[in-house]
Amino acid sequence: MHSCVQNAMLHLKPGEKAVVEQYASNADKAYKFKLLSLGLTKGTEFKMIKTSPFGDPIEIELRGYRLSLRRHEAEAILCTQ
Amino acid sequence: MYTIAIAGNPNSGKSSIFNLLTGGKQKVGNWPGVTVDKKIGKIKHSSVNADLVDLPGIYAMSAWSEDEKIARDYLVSCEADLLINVVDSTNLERNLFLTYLLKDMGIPMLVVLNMFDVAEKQGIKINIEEIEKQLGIPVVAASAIRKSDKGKILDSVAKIKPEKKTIKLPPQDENEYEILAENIYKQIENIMASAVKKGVYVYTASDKVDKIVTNKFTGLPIFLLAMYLLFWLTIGVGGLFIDFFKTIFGAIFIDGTKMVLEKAGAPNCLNVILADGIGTGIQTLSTFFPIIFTLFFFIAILESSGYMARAAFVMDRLMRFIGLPGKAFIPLLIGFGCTVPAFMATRSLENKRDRVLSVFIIPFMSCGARLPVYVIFAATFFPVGGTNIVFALYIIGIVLAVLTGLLLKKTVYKGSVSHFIMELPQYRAPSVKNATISALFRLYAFIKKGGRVLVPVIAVLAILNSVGVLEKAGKTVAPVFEPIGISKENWPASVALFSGIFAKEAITSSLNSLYSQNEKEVNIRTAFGDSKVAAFAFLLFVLLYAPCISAISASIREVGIGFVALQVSYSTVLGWSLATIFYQSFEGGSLFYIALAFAVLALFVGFVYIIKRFHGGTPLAATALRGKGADT
Repeated sequence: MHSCVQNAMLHLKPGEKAVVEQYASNADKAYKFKLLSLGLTKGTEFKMIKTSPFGDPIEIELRGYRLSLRRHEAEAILCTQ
Repeated sequence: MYTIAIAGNPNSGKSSIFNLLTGGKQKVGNWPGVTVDKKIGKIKHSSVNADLVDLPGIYAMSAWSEDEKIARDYLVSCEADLLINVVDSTNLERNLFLTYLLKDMGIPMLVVLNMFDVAEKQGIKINIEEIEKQLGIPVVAASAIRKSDKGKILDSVAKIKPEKKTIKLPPQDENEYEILAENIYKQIENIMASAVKKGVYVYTASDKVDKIVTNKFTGLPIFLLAMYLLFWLTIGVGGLFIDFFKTIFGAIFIDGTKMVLEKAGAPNCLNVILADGIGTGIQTLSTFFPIIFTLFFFIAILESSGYMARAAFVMDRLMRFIGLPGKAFIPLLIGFGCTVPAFMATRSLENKRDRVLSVFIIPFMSCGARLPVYVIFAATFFPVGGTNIVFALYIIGIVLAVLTGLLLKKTVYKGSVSHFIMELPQYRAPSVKNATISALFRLYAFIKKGGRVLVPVIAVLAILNSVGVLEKAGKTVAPVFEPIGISKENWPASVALFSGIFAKEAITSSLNSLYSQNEKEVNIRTAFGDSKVAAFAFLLFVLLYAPCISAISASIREVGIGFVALQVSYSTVLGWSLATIFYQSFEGGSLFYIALAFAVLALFVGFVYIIKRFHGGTPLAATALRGKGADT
């Protein structure tokens, strides 16, 4: 079990899973609301699927659906593998 | 007679259900303070006699997103007596979040498990009674493609007592909201565990397609191909019908009106006002019908198929360089055909900031109406290499667009960026019927709302033109164009530029008719002193100056008159300055004019910067917060 790392989501390789630990203390409010509403709550498991051809945004899978977000947006979430 | 509101996630098939319940007949209305169209339909079925209001597709009810704010404000207004929540049965877990939020608001509600047939095909087994029990709200399964489900849904609606209730909104404090979200998802997990049996992994098929569509190497080429197709179908095919509408509407509203007035022996001024004025206005409006319909038809097809999300996913990084999100590519592309539908297409951008930025940049995508001007001048002055001249103009337009985007991104919009966070739905077969209904709705909204501005404005311009006011204005202003290489004798060029505000195609016809009125043997070549430099400077100005009045009207509707005035003056000043610098550098030789052009440009850019710093501080720079106040 790796320790809680910011940007851990960005280091995931396609196929790897992680669990949401908490939100970064400086996470933008608007992003946080949206990500929470979309199901990225504490303890939620998600899987990394791929990155866009240009490296950004990334695609993850959670709660049975696919979500894409920019790397900068993904920074709001701290997770563990 | 009461009001039902219909709410649901994007991609939940909400509009299909809306079309199913209303029979495709829709009216357009207004959400207070925003430019988003409000879609309203009527339901008449046994005991249900109600208006159906379509709320924007939303994931939650927070105040941080414009669409969600519209839904919030609407439900708080207590206009709705009943709520239909459309849920995607193949994506229950996340869809139910909104359901819980809506349920907590207290309005009488029915949950429709849409795409139930697709879920069944995917092996998903849903225990409806169990969900009803856990939610405490009536639930009905449906599929928008089964006509009989209309009755099924409305029968359930009839059993619910509509009532205006005081709404409880979810908390806007982030810690409270985090706890709320966690609780709701816990309850949803219970439902999923007890009432839903999972089916096959649905993304297998979509992933196969995505292997090519979002592939590192094929992703961009496929996108470009898709965009080429969209452009060709919209501008190429749709454009074929422009003449048809122009002729028919011209025959009815201009010639027809003239005939009627003549028979009635009406005074000539009435003829001018009704036939030349309003008639031209209506005719001009009609020339946009085919392109607007085809554009929104194919956009709907792209959206409902699921490809649009992939396109945004692929293009986002590139587009962000000029400060725009991936989705903005389509309005920019359409701008090469016609600016009017391009402005309308900026609707799909959720953020006002993105729409304003797009409106600034789109006119630099040289529209199709300017092309005849380029071609004629290229043929006249550049018999060799004329194509390169035209191509150069397009490239200059694109370069300036990118520079403008960068300028705005680094000054006015510094630090602010809209969200990308976006769902990638499964690929689905798009519905031609729904796309048609959607395109017709957009067309209807254009006629009703856009027409309200466009027709009178063009009517006024046409009347002024027929009494010679435009010509006088052109002659008076002609001295201003001397620095860009239009000599005093060449005042028809100045007048032609004025007529270009009407419609860019009018420039060449105006030049030709004015030159032929001259006693001397004047044509385009001699009027411009046989000067290639003067010709190119003129074309530079044509490329950049104010868009036509139809485009201006359309953009006023999208972003308000303030921004439009700014854009028009910015591009016109830019055009004048660049044309002056070019002409004077290569022929005129007047250092004074060159310095003046630079000074004017610098002054203007500085002026814009200063205004935005003082006035545009928070409303424009805010990320997702958008409400009534930010609409100036």
